[in-house]
Amino acid sequence: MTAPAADLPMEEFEYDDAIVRKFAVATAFWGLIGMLVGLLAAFQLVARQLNFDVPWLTFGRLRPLHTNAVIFAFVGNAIFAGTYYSVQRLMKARLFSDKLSKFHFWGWQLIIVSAAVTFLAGITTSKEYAELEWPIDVAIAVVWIAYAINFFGTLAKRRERHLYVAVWFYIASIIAVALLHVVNSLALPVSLTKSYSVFAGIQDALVQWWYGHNAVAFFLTTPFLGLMYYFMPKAAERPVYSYRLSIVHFWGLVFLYLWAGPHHLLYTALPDWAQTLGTIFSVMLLAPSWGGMINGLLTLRGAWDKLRTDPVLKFFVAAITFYGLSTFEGPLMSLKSVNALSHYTNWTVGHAHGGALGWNGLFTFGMLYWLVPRLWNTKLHSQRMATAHFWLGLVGIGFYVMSMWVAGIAEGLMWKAFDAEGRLVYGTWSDMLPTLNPMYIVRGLGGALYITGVVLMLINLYKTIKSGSPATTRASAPALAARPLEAHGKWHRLLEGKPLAFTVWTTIAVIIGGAFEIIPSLAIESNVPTIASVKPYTPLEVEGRDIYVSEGCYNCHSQMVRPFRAETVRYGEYSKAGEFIYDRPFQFGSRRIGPDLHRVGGKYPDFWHYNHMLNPESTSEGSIMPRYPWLYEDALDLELTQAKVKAFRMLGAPYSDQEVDQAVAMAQAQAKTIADGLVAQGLPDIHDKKIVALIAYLQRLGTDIKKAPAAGAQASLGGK
Amino acid sequence: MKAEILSRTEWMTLPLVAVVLFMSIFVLMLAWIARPGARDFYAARGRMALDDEEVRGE
Repeated sequence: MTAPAADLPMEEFEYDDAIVRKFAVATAFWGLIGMLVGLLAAFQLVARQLNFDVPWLTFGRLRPLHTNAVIFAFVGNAIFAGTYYSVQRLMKARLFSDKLSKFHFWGWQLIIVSAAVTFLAGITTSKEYAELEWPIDVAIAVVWIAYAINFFGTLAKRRERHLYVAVWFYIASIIAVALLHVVNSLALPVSLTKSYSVFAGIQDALVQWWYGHNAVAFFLTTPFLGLMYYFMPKAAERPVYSYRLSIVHFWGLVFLYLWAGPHHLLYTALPDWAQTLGTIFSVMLLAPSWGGMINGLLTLRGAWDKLRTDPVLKFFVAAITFYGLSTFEGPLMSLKSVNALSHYTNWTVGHAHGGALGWNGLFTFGMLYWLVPRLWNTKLHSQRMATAHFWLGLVGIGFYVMSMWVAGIAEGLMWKAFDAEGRLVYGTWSDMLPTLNPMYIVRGLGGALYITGVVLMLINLYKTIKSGSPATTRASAPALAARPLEAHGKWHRLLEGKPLAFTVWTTIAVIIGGAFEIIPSLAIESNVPTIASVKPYTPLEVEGRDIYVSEGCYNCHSQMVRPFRAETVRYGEYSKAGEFIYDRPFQFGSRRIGPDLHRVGGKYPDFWHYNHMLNPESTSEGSIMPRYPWLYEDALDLELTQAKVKAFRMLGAPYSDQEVDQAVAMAQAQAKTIADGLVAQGLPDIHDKKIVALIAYLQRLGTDIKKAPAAGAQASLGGK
Repeated sequence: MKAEILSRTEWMTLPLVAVVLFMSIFVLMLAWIARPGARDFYAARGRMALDDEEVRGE
């Protein structure tokens, strides 16, 4: 045991709480913005008129803005506020550098604003939760490094010998996020606002969901578990229930999480071994996750009566319970038999929001209610308002999650329903919308209730801040060198007492899972069997694909026909890994608000696509898809076409010199062919409009496999 | 050479290797934290979040 602090010479110091205050205010502000965007997006699925026929207000552009704002702006700022507050107290030291703290704060807010502007402008990579283009990716890396230096620098100047378990979770988060961000963002730029992933097809999908799943793990989960291990004991005024269990919790999670990513790609063209790996590790994740939940909840042992009066504990207990529910539901959905029903449905949306609104949201609110009075040296303005916020939030989540469960299971069953003659019962997408619409309304109402609670919180916190003034917090502790070593301390010092050594152990644990998954997928050619008839996109199709990405079509349409009878009957031949080798980035999607598009090529005439994109209801009665009138007005920009084709060739697409040199002329010629065909049917000439490229791309989708293998060794372009 | 070795490997064994690797490390960890005589050490670590006396002023 450590010698009593009173017997040792003490050093006095002051904590930097100014930076915590900044991040706390930013958390509350961006939370409201991100959730309001989500609410608008939710009601756009009820009434498509809410897209207003305005490019930057369409669902495809708002949805990534919503997810990124909630994850990186709301949750991100909460993480920074909570870690900066707690690491100073746990390490008995002021943050490493005030300048780095300020750079971190303002840099992160600038990134958030840049994200908002670029998403609304249609600048996106389309890789979910990693949609930002490369200059912003670079900025994220720089700011994250500043955060890491500030954090690890604080550990270096600490006055506490042992690293408390919360700090372990913070270290794992900082390391893993850096690794995930760098690998998944590897891309070849063609301009300041456009780049192509260095990975293609199923390899891109695997890397993306290795990132996507672990962004949930190491951005939305492990930092919050660290915060739980600090703030729950503080609020309950009890030590953590079992420190031993917290050790099992930590190492179990960091070892297991990295392996589970492929459960996002079950029944896709991903190799079967990778799918099985993802499922097995997802199920094993249940053990440490529930160990952590039990540890968090039982920290309140002997003090459950406080729940009746303390809104902070209400938020914490409900949040930890949602952590348990989400970490049960996740492994359940990763079972292949369950996933066959749940994937691409609203069930996934319900699962994601159970975690985001329940675990991250409620915990953040509890943390703000605990922190703000202390940071401004006052008392919370109104406990009753905070309690009202809690119940509004809880009921709101209930409406949201349950409506999405019902909608998800209903649509999963409708997709697979056959009648006695073996025909699809719901043959067209519009047949299913009347069943889903009431659920979309209930979901929107749930979100509105949740946001009403957030507004109450903002008023409550504003009045709390007004009643106090920024606090200066001083503390004293003996210097690290003065603290004697402890009995039982030798091995713990080696494993958990030295930040550098601990970081190395954690990095190894994190890397093992990723390496087992990613390296074989990239190294073994047999994982992606080539198909002779699959050719690179024509220059016009490349432009059309970029428009598809820019408008966020992937938010509603998958490009992955799974090997189920219901899907092959509805869409056509199931998708093969070899069909995606020129897809940078992949467009498998994660949700089918509309039908799958992988076999849409050649299914309808150009005339149909022209009318459909202009007014979806003219071809699909009851469609909730937005209109895209600007695609018929905006000029098709071919300035970067040659650079794009050249970039694809650098990444391995077999374009000839001639095809690179004449990329623009080829695009213009193909555009004229399509436009002339439409003019002959009485439509306006669109040869120089964006829509012609999009039609070219849609008509190419999934058609290569229907063609006979090309004769001769020289590859030539497919398409029209 | 590399391609030949990789092409002869049965990758469906990878999940099995992964599970054995993880379980071995997990069991070792359980044995380590459950060792006798460490109860007080862990109890002290569990109280660290509460051990931060500070003075707040304006």
